[in-house]
Amino acid sequence: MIDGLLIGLSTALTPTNILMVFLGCLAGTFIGMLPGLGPISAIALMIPITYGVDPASGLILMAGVYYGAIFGGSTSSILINAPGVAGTVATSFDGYPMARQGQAGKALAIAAFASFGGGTVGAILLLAAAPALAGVALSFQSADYFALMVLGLTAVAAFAGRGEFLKAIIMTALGLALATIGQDPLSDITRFTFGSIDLLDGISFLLLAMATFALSEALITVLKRDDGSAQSRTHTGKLGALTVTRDEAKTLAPVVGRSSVLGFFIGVLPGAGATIASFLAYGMERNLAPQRDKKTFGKGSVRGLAAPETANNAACTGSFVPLLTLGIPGSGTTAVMLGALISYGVQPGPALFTERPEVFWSVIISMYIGNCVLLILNLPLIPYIARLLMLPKSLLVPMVLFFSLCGVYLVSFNTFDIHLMVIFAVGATGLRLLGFPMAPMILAFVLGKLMEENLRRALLISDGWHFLWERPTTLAIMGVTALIVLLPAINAYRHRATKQKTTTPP
Amino acid sequence: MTLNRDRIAALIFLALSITYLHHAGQIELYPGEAEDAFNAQTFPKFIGWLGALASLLMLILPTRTAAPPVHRPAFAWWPVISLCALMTAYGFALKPIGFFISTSLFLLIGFMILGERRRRILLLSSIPLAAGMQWILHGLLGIYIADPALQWLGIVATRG
Repeated sequence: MIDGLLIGLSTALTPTNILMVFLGCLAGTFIGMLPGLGPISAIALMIPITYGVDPASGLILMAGVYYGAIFGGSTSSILINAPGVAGTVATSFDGYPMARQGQAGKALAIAAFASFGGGTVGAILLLAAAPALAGVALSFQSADYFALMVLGLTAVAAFAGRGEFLKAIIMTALGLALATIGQDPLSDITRFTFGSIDLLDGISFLLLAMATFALSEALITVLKRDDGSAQSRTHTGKLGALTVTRDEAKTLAPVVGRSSVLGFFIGVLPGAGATIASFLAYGMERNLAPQRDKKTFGKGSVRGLAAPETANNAACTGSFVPLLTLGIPGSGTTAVMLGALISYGVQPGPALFTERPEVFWSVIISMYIGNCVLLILNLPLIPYIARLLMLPKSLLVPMVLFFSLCGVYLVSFNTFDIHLMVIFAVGATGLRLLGFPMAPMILAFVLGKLMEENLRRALLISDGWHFLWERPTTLAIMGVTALIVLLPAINAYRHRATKQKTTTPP
Repeated sequence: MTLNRDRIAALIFLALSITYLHHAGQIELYPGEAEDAFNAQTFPKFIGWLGALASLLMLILPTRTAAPPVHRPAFAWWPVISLCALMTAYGFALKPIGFFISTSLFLLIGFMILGERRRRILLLSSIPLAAGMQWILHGLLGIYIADPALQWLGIVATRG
């Protein structure tokens, strides 16, 4: 581990990679601040840039963007009550009231320190958990991987929200179906190309990510006439001091500790992630708070602000565990990162730990550097970055559209891709308006080819579907998947039965 | 059973899944491959059945009907349709008229669609951005982008 840390340090601390972390955090903060654009869009917009650098630097840049976007989302939650990212919705519960009380600077400082705390604890836990899990994962076979991917996709669907499970499963099927377009990698048989030469190589992951996230988010912003009315509520002019008192620090230390651990473990779970972690941490702190403090929750409580901020950052770090050790992303954001890594020829998974230690360890180290950058460089820059929130939508949206289209076109130099993007963006906008989540689709698209490859290997080795229950590991994973699918249905049935019992007259 | 928006979406997905399944069955296989435990049709068929089953369940299961919003937001459809048309046109224009002019026009018209009317802002936000991108790609990163208009004007050299 010491050797790994040294490799990581020597890679992450090169001037280029430090610059990558800095640029990533800064760009992520800016993009994350813009309501409507989340970390997935931020990372997708950065992918074309990362094609020009080596994989370690690319992943470092994307990790910086991820952190920056979450922090940027917190800033817009606090300053204008418009969370740019779902994971920072809970931040606005107490952050915005603080800003209204003229304590925007303090709220931003608490958010930055809490994020730093969450990120630091998360990075330490990742340092311990990732190599251990990578060691276990080395014994995994194709059948286990297939089962794990089924579990990952099911869990993402299960966490999509009440009543949204089927929609998420449909989106998963759509993502998998899109992944089958093009030449079959093993037999070279073309599938679903309908005679088009442009579809022979399949649909590019970048194209799909840009169209369904960046483009459709920009179009929805226009559609909903979100024309910057929030700007009038911006508290950038009167931020107040960016400091935290000693007493506040004392109160916040245990909150940060608890929320970090909770956030990290929720982040590790496939499908959970920053949003659930932040809400759970908020709820946990409200329950643990003394009666006197409980009343301040929702009205500008420092504990209520620190808990979700810590948890969402720790969860971001936690979500790297399945990505780095199993090669299976647990969230839409890490799915985008996996797609980018595969396009530079790096396959994350247990082998990454031994074959590309510089990528594995430098990402872990750069996460810590990213947290320091956010605290030391981004926090003082917030008053200036926040002014960018004043940029009118009439200028911003066409620029986002241009950078998205340009990013995809510059990879393929094929204008067919631009037209395909428009089609996907229109489709994604419609589906979003109907409440269909996009994250399961992109996750399934990224995992589609890997899933087919592992299923093919498992089926050919065992000559039948009995591979699903032959090995205890596969059986256990499939058991958990079945539980995830069945539990909500059983709960709903029991709920309906109790309701019927109470309403039926004796 | 009322046909609400979710059920209409489920119906569309069911039709798509059945069409996908039909096409999955049409995928050509090598001789003798049809008997294998896995072939090029296996995974698509699995996906098709998954999609069909999920859409069918969504269609027949009782839906959670949310209360209609008090103020239904009025969507701005025209700017969105115009932006989509603009992106399509940008795709068609990029190669024949080149990166610089098509990008400048794309940004300029995009700003106008979204209500920007100040001439100075329109020009200063579009042309310098397109020129800057062209310079970064051509001059800084050495990425060749065919630009017939600028080549004709002698501003950008032809490849080779």
